[in-house]
Amino acid sequence: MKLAQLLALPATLISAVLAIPEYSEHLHLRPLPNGYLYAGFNFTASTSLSAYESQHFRYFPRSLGQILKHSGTRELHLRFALGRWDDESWGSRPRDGKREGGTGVEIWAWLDSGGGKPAVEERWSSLVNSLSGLFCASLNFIDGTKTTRPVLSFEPEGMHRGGGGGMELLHGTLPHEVVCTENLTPFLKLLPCKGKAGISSLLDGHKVFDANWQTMSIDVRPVCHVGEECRLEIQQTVDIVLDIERSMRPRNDPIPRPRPVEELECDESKSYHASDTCYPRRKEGEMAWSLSKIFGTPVRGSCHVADGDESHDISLEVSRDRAVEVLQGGSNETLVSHGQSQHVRAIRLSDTAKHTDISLPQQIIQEAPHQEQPPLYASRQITGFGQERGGMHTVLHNPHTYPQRIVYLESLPWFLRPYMHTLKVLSHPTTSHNQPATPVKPDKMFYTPALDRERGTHLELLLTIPAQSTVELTYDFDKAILRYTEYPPDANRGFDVAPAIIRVLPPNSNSTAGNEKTQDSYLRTTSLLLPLPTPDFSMPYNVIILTSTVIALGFGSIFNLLVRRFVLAEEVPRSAVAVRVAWVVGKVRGVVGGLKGRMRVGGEGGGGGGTVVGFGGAADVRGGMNGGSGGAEGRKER
Amino acid sequence: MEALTKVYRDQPKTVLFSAAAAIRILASLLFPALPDILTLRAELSTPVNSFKRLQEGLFLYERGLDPYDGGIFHQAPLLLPLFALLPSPSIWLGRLISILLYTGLDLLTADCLFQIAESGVAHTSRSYTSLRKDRAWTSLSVAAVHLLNPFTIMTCLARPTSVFTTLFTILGISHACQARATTAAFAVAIASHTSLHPVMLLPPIGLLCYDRMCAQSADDPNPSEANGVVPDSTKIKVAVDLRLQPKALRFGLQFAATFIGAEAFLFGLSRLILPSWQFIPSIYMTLLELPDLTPNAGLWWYFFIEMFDAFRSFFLGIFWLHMLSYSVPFCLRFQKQPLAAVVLMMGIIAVFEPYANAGDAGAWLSCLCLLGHLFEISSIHRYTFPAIATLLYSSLLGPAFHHLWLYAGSGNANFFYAITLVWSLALLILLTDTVYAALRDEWEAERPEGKEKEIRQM
Repeated sequence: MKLAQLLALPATLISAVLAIPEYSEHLHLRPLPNGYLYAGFNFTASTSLSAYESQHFRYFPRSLGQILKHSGTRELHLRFALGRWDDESWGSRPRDGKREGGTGVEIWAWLDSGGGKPAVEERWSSLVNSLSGLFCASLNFIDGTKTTRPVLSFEPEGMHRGGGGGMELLHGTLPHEVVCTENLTPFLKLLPCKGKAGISSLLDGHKVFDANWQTMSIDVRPVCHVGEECRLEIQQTVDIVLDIERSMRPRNDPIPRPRPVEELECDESKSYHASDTCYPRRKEGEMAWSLSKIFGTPVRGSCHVADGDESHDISLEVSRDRAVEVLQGGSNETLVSHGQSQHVRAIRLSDTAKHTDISLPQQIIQEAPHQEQPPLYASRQITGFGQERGGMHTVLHNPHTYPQRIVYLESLPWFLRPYMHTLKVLSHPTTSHNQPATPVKPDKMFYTPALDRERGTHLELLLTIPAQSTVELTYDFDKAILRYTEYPPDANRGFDVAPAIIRVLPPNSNSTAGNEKTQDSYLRTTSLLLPLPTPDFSMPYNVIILTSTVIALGFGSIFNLLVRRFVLAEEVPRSAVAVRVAWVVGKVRGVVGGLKGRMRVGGEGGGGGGTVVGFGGAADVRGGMNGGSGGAEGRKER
Repeated sequence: MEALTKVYRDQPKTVLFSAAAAIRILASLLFPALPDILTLRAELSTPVNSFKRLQEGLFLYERGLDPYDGGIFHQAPLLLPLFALLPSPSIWLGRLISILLYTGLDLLTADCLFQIAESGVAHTSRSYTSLRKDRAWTSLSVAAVHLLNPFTIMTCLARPTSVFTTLFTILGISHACQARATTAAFAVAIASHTSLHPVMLLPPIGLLCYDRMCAQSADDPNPSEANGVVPDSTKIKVAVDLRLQPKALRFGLQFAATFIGAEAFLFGLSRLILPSWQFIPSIYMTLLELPDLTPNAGLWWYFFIEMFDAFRSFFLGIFWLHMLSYSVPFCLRFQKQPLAAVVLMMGIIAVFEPYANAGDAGAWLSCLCLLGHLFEISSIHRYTFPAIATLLYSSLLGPAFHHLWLYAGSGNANFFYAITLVWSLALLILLTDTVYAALRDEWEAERPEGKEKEIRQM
């Protein structure tokens, strides 16, 4: 069963009812291999465009609506994400990766392009600054250096007047941002039930941010249906992958600590099993879990606020044989699979019951769970060593039997200086190993080089990945050294580089049989950590002093030579100070000599006293004469 | 062996030049990785002359993009069509051709140095003849120092574009020595077009050219002798008719006008091959504002990393004014030895330029040998030996400390900073010693009794 179709399930139900409810919510649960559980929350609210223009808001959040109106935003996509989706074991991404963001915060929006480039930048700045306040995130740090204008990677999802003309796409990322509870609280505040009732009551910061992978998204777009007025729709989603065992850790013992020995489940068949060694036993079958144990609380009440909302609130995608019990308001019933699909069981929350809980016992299921293969595997690394330069290396692996066209987007910070002339795209077939790599020529390439402190690099490639092959994309870059005030306090941690965004384009309808996909899908690599060379932060004064000393030494000695003239040493007149000093030295010498003599005389007796005094006197006279001759010379020179 | 000696005796210049070319080509053939390693060395390649950045600029230029609309390429636009003709240097043939091109540039530079040394302007000018003129180095030794200087050889293999600046600077000097004002001004214009600093050489080169023109007009009766040949000392000096000599002011204006005209022509030519005027701020503001703080062998980079933001523009202004402050004083003081003024100004540029590199310092050391007759004074009275020992010390320790900082992680930025400080200090000491020697030589010509005696400054 395809997740995308599943997620479209409420929509199909809605269309059956005809009247579109102004608000609906949905939770999709699916256990993943190795004891993980995927939970996808979806909250959709909408308002008619005329109500939006006149600022009548019912379920559409007013705070966000006003920001969008003020900044002239036609379509908004905002993502907060953490962790890594493990394609190898979890399969393809939920919602085709369309509601997913790169690590940190990612935002892209279509803005009114009236007024030229400065006006658009002004609107963009006003949008990110207002959203920064609304979501308690550092979105205000998205400035010119973190903004790019992708050409191929994104297309508007909504239906815009005039076929999407007169608007401009801007894209910004903050890979360093740590998404946390303070971002979830304002997110829940936008919902009509504010996280107090319905499925949103399960969203607790402790659980959401303890997940292995989580992404929160907000998408605002205009939607039009035939014969109806266009509406502005906001879709909020939270997708998380929880480690079931970790989440069920009892609340009264939340500190992660080693389990007591008696609780360990060991594989006793291993030869090295002993009282002090334990090889953990493989879990058999599916783990037992329940909503209240995983999320810490059962679903409180329901949030059926809008008229005409007849859809199911929770759908559970498990094997047909799995026993599922629903505990609703004290009554306990077994849930059987929904008529439409063998794998999906749907629940509608009761409006009367206070609590609803779903629990699944431990069970051994023979049937292997179906998993859809992702369209593409992608990974990206920094190669090289040292802090001077490095290389980027991206591996894109196409496991399918048909070639795929992708758009590869990278937005790099300005302090990473890529050399595009070193860009190499090589393709290796995975079927045979001894075949040499063949170069792949990108069908299209968009490149905006970085400008120091003004603009980041924007690189977009349109590539075709041949069937069952691996494409490697490499280029070299230099790591810039920054001014010391531009480093963050933890400078030696390195700088985050935003993930690459890969858009897998749908194949042309008439080509490639065996592939029914008509929608494009997205995937993102992990973010990277770029170590930059660092100066010594304690040294500004020392450096200023030392460099200035060297320069002054050069300047001083050169101009000293240039502005003065040479004379022979014997011609140099003695300066008045030198004469004075010589006179004082002579005087002191005389006095000291006299004292010495007197002491010696004191030792010998009075006999030699006269001589000593005479000696002292002579020294005195000599000093005086020296001074006199010096003075005479000086006068002669003048 | 005997044949070799004979060849050397008959054609020493040919042998020297072919040996120098052979060294460069063999080095690139025997160690094919060497050029690329040297291209990445911070001491040789700076943001404004790196060969790798030139390749990036070429990549953008060949795809019709504006190479100056980015933070990587800041080199002269006229280099782009030239290098676009050559095959890509990532393959062996392209690498060999680029090495051949740079070897040619080195040989031309050496030939210019040879011509300058031949003309004898270093020790004999219009109104002054050094007492030590018989101690001047032979033209061949000056060329040999340039061609076999390890700094020059490494620069040739690293292929920075500042080699073009050096060539045109020295070409300008050599034309000035032959009293060809127009071509000298044009060569200096090309040099200052590729990097800004040679503008500061304009006054001393103008002075040199004027001096040679005066000397030529004085010897006009038999111009064949005056043309670059040392004036015969046995010739009887007749009084020079000052009215026949070219007017200084008029010459200066003409020289500056030629320079400005040539510069304007080069800018126009550059604009023709590029889509916008963006190249002017990209090239010259990078030099003036130092946005790229990649480590190099100069004094600026670490100073402006550590500088407080509020004082950044103030100190940038101070550093540039400081460099500018030497040009005119040198011209005034060394009126009688115009070549010394030129060489000393080149030294100032090599030490104090914002993106200093070992290549410029090496070229300056070669030019210093033009003033070989002064070495006697500086080695007796000054600190030449400690300065040269320090130069060797810092050129060996520099790469080591760079490695310790950026690769091994066992040293920090201060290690490399300290060694660049020592390097600059050693070059500065060499420079001041030469200033002293030139001044003393001039003084001794006035007062021969002062030779070998202790002197003071007043």
